[in-house]
Amino acid sequence: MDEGPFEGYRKAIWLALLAVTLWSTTGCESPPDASRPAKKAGLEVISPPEDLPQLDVAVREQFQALWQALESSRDSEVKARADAWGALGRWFDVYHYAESAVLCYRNAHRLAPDEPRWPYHLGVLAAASGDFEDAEKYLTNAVSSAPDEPTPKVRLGDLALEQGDLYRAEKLYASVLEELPQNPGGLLGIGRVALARGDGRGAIEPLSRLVKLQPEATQARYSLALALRAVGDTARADEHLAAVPADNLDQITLDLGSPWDLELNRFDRGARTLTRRGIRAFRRGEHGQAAVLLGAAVAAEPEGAEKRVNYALALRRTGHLRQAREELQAAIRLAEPGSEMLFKAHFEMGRLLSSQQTRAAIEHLNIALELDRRSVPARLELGRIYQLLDRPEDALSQYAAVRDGEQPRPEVSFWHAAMLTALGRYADAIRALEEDSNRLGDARAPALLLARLLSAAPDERLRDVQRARRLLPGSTRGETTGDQADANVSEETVAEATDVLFAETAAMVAAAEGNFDRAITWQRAAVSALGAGGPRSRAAAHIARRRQALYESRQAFPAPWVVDERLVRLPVVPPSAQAPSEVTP
Amino acid sequence: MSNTDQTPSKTRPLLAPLLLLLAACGVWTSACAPAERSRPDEPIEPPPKAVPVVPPAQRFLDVSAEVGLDFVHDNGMSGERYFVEPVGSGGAMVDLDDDGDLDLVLIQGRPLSPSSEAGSESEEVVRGSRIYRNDLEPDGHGRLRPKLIDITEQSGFRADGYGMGIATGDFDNDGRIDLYVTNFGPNQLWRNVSGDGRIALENVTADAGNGVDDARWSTSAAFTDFDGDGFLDLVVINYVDFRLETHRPCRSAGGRPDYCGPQSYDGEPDRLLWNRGDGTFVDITGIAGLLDEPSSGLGVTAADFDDDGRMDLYVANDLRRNFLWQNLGPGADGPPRFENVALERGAAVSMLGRAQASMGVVAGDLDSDGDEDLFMTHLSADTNTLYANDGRGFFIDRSTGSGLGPASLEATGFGVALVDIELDGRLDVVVANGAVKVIESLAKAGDPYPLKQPNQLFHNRGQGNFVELGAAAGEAFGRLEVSRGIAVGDVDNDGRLDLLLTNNHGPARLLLAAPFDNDGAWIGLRLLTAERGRDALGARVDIVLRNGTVLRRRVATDGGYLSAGDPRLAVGLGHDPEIAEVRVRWPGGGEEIFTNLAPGSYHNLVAGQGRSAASAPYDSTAEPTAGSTRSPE
Repeated sequence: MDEGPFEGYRKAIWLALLAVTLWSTTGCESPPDASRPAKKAGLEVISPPEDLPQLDVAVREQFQALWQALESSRDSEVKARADAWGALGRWFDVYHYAESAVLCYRNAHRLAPDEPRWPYHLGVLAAASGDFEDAEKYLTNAVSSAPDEPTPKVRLGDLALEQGDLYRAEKLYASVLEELPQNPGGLLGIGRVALARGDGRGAIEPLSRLVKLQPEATQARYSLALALRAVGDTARADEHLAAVPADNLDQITLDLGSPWDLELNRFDRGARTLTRRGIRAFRRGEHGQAAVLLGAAVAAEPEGAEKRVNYALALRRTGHLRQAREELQAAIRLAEPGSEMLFKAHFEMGRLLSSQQTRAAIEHLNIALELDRRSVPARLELGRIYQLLDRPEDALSQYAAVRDGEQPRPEVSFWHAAMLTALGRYADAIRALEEDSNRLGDARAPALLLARLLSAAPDERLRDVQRARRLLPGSTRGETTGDQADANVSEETVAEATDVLFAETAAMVAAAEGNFDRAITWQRAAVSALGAGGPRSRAAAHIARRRQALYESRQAFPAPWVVDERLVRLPVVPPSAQAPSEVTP
Repeated sequence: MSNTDQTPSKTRPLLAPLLLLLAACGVWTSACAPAERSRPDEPIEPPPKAVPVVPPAQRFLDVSAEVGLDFVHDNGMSGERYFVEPVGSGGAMVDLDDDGDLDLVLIQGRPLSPSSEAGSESEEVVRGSRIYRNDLEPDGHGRLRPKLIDITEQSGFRADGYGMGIATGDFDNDGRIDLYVTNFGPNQLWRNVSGDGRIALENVTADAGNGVDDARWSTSAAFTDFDGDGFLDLVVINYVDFRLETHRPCRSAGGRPDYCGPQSYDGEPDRLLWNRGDGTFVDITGIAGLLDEPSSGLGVTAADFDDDGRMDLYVANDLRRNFLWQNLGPGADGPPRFENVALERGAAVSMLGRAQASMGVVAGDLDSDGDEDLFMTHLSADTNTLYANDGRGFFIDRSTGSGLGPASLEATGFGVALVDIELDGRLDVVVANGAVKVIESLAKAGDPYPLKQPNQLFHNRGQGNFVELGAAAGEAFGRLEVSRGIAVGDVDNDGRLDLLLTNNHGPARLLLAAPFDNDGAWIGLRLLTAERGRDALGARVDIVLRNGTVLRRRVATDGGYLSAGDPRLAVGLGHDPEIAEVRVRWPGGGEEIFTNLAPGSYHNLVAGQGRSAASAPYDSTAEPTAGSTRSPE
């Protein structure tokens, strides 16, 4: 093991020490020392997180501000000190440093024992860690301090429910609903108690009320579906199940109406939250929304190179290419020398410029490769650009580098051999494909390219049409056991395989066999699909038509692959499914 | 396996002295644990602290060092935080040389660099997965003790990919149990060709049919006969579309670099391979209906959940809805068809409607009501989940109040297994834990691998009510490790199920179940098909005691997490162990009754050698049609 991922913690500690040293030697205000007020008051002593230097700038600044506030509160009134500890506790809570959060909340609770928020948060954290005894203690304390606030009682009910004490849970939920009949936590809880008793009918009423109040809340919908199913109303149960988004990220949590939870959830998480939401939107294909969120993240942390790159990616998807380029330029400027983010910024810049400014794109991709020689995406992108520039030798060198240093991958094997073919190195291409097939197994695209070479290589000694035929997916149909299931599997294989690459290869093999009618049929199918493929398929359609013309003049051996040929995955209607009139030329 | 868990580490209280005292005083019995404590008219007061009822002793003993188990897992950590690193690998307990005792197979990772993913040679040390032959020997006290010898090199077994999981089953019906190894990379099928007391395996992947060498990131797998044609089919569970070259940086909530979660990558569909009966498989994933649901599977178990005689399939997915593939029977062309009914059957998501980060899964009769319940493990701050079967294949989440849920909140569970620690006929639960996100206190203490958590043993107090035993269950349950898989089996043939525990980037451990004077009786059963004596995976077995108790078990090697177990059944009978009969429903149909089976030893029950159940209603005086008795060797 060179360096485990947790090695970072040790580094972080050193970085933190270094930061403290620099802070004190540069004349800045001395770093806050939370242990001083803590020790003074006999409180829990806490320390900054070990990985603080690794956190987002905005999150770090947030921490530093809270730490300073705590330091400043030393001589303040007790309530102000408690609030400072509580606020710092919320920071730890939000960023998943549960143990430090507990210590801060405990200090806050000790300083202000009548304040209900701190025992409430302590209770929630204890419950989440399975310490129900502490949870009970703290939540009961919160109820005592804020008898009119329903949420601690609901949480106590949840605790009782988790432990199977249904009577106690019911009593707690009922006491909440007595005061607030529309309380969502109470309604959900009372419904869950009924469900736990197997009383679907008893659960339907409160849960139906809850669904009316919060129709989008997943818990409400799902619980009601369970209740309806329990009484045999499967149709209505299915309706509610259908309303529950499959992806957790798309689900909406029940709003308990707790001001303390709201306070925690609204705690400013800086650019990280915006980024996370932006990435979710991006992955859902909502690129406009992603751009808004990721742009806001940049505004929150303008010095963050990663934020800039993310924003640029969203801008690119929304067609704002100039702005995307500006963000990437900023990212390149901001990223630390030699960093992964600098690589990412150059790589994305290369991709962005690849269609318009190929020379600049190549420069950026080469810089990216200097930063990470092993980067497969950068080499593949470079290879693609060289192909666009009609530079097959350069493309070949990139694919060869990937092929030599990387696990076998079908696309690399394919393009490497395709460039060899385009350069007229047919024997090398065949050899490379055969080598790769030993490692790759039955990868489809390389196998089809090999079939092309074996049927259409200009050098007759390289041709082996029978083998080429066997390489076509589905060609062994009926040759094995002949049982029905086997035939079905092969039919599916053929259906899946029938795209432009397959169709043109099948045509090439048929032509090599002298079956020009068949070749023309397949080639026409490919041309037809490419014709419907729009401008991106134009070059490929041109090549396909040339081949069709060749077959129509009964000439068998087109170039197996030409330098500007593209791998088009448009589906093709197989000849057997076409009208008879189209089959016969 | 998501990286979103939050694990406040707590110091586990030392329960043993308290438990001893309580047990001695007889304060609690297993029958006196009410499900609902307070009454409606009582004031709201904090409930009394739960007092566990436990057998007061170290239930499992770590004998790894003394029996020769020296396997140490390498997860290939490179500092890059590749997603595959925290997932771990599994192991198997399997009698490869058919000498009557269980041998061990441990699955190994390997250094992770772009050049190593496919199993190519590199300069880094590649240890490979290992096979340990078990030569049971007398321990001098009238018992047998495992003696493990690493025979990997001699066996021909060379599994040097980045190994994940293992499934065991005799796919070619030659009476020898074969191995299927899943990898982060192409999977391998190893045919068992052992003979003359020598373990030998040959890699038949290339000739076994398309898809057997699934090159995606596969995790768990399971052999079972889905269509009842007498040949074991194979289901392979795939995780997500992660490859080293698609590795992306992920971050914690605060922005620190961290491992990614499953939602950072697209899910993959699982694969179903139908056994042709000639030593090859055909990929029927699409035909069977499994192709259109890509997800992030980690665990799998096959069982007949709706009791219709056909083996269904349950898949535990990580942060995506779990699958319950109901076996609809064969299509017109032969292969079986499946439909995912998890959501409408109540087994897809938690009570709150959210997909949980499911890791390991087991099926078994946890509440002793005669059907297959489900239990699965999850992240910390989320409960492990018990889905109770209503007997028709509909499930209710019974985690709440079962004792299995709350106690799991503090740990991230992976491996899971069902054992019976007191041989009382009730299934207890073992969970292997280990976080996937840094535990703050361990990091502060300078732990170089701050993901360690204690494992857990949950004692079944009856009627689906469990209590966690803590460190009282043995050293292995007080130790902090990053555990992943558990294979379960009776490695010393004493009727008690032992554990093979795998740790991520750490040593594997063999944990022997210790005998105690107050343990119940037991019976061991090996269910074999008529021809060539293949383990009848999927057979349903009802052990009917004279006192009317019926213990339902299933023959299986699957379940858990990345691991495979003993196909034999070792069943605790309690203290009233007289067996009236054993009823067997064989895969593919046919029910038979076996009688005159004495407790305290293993018996082979062979299909066709019992009395037909259809023509023989229960009769305790019927003439014996005993299975052959096989003494532990």
